[in-house]
Amino acid sequence: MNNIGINFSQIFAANCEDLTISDRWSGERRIVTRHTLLRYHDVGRMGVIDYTKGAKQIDVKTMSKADKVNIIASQNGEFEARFGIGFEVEKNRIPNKFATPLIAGYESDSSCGEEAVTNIIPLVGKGTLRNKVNNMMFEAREVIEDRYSPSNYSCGGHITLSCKGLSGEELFNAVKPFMGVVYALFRKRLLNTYCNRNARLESNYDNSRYCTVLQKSNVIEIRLVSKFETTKQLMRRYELMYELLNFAVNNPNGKFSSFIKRVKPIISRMYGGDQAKVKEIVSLSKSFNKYITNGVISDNIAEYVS
Amino acid sequence: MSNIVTTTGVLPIEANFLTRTDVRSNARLNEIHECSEDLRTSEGVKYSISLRMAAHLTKSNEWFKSDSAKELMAEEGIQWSKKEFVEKSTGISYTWFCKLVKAAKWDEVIRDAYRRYNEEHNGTLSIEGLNKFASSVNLEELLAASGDEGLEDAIIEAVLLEEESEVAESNSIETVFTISFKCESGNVAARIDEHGNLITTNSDAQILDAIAFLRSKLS
Repeated sequence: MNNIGINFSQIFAANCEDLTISDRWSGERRIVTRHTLLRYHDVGRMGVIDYTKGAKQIDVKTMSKADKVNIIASQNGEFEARFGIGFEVEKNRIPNKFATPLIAGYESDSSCGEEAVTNIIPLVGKGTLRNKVNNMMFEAREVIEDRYSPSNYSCGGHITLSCKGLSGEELFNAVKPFMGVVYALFRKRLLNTYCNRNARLESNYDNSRYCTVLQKSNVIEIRLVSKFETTKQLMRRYELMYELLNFAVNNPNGKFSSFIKRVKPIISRMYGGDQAKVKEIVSLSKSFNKYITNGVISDNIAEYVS
Repeated sequence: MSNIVTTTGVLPIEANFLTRTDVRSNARLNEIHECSEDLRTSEGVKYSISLRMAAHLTKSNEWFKSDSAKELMAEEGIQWSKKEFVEKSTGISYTWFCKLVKAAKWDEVIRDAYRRYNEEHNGTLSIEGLNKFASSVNLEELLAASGDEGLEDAIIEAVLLEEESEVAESNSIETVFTISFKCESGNVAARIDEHGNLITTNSDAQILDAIAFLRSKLS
């Protein structure tokens, strides 16, 4: 029996050898690494690692029964996370670009400077596996935290989500009734032209890159999310996204108020326990939800939506 | 068996959490580790060190169960079961931890009585021994019967009586055959005494299942 469980460092190390991509102009293969700055979009071409597979019994043992519904048992005795998540950590500068399991690679970004693109991470409930995910974030803190890698308001923190068995369009429609919370948290970004198109989340919208939520074939990209300044912020957003997918996929007819109740502790933690702030976010969430579903613009959100 | 478990499974994020001054102080980690070290190096005084450690572990456990500890761990991105907390933060096996926490719960008068009982019977002090000794004492009953002053004597007497009755019980009728079987439907236990009486709470069918299982293992 495996007593250690999935070892992200080991998987990462095995996926750092002999990496090459073809040059866009000459077509020649060139050697690349996970710790040097690549050109825009080259991290995807180099290849990201999918960590959603390969968890062991010990990794999922401590998970609650309710969260285990989002884990798929394979025939080889391993476990696969039903949900996956990836982040783009945009920064003005990342002085120490080092190889670490969370980060697939670094690339230049015309809007803000540089960005770290994460590998595909299992999006799971509380327990040993999530501790390991959080540990990857902790180990990448020199990349994530503003005190090491500064950012400004031109930077964002895009989040990509996937769910096994659902297309991007299906996932988009599943999360839509609950997106009010995400809008409330990152409402100021609704004024940003890089991420404010199709704010009412129409699923047949023509695929503009600068949508609030971008629909792709098997994933959705939430572009509204603001820059990452701390590791804990990344953890909180991970937790929020887990609750979003868990609720949207497993309780499609669930009430928005029930979802709010579920994520309230996370919002509270995001604001250091400031209950007045939590109340404000809840109120904004409800208004944004009305806006997304009916187009109603309440007074408290009028300044953010056009 | 060693009571210390390997803590190599501690993740860097967990190790960092365990270096926090507030965590070390609330979970009494310095004191517990000191006790562990004393246990490794001391001769003959292991029982009192274990009791000292048990008191710290009890406080540590109380902190772990508190809302503030839960909130702090959630904030730091760590979720531990009690077993994980114990093994990762103290390096003590969970079984040993349970024994120590149990030992820490006994009233001081019981612990004093156990110490005296051992002195009088040339026994060896141990945590397991204390737990066994204390389990057979109904303190409230004895307190009501003998009052505060004679309580220690009453405890020792009660334990001696209990031991005597246990011996008498085991000596009275010999057992000539026993079988016990753990299966999905529950436990099966049966014995036959020297007079040929079958003593069991199980049905014939359950005992036959146990016998069939035993037979399947014979070559």
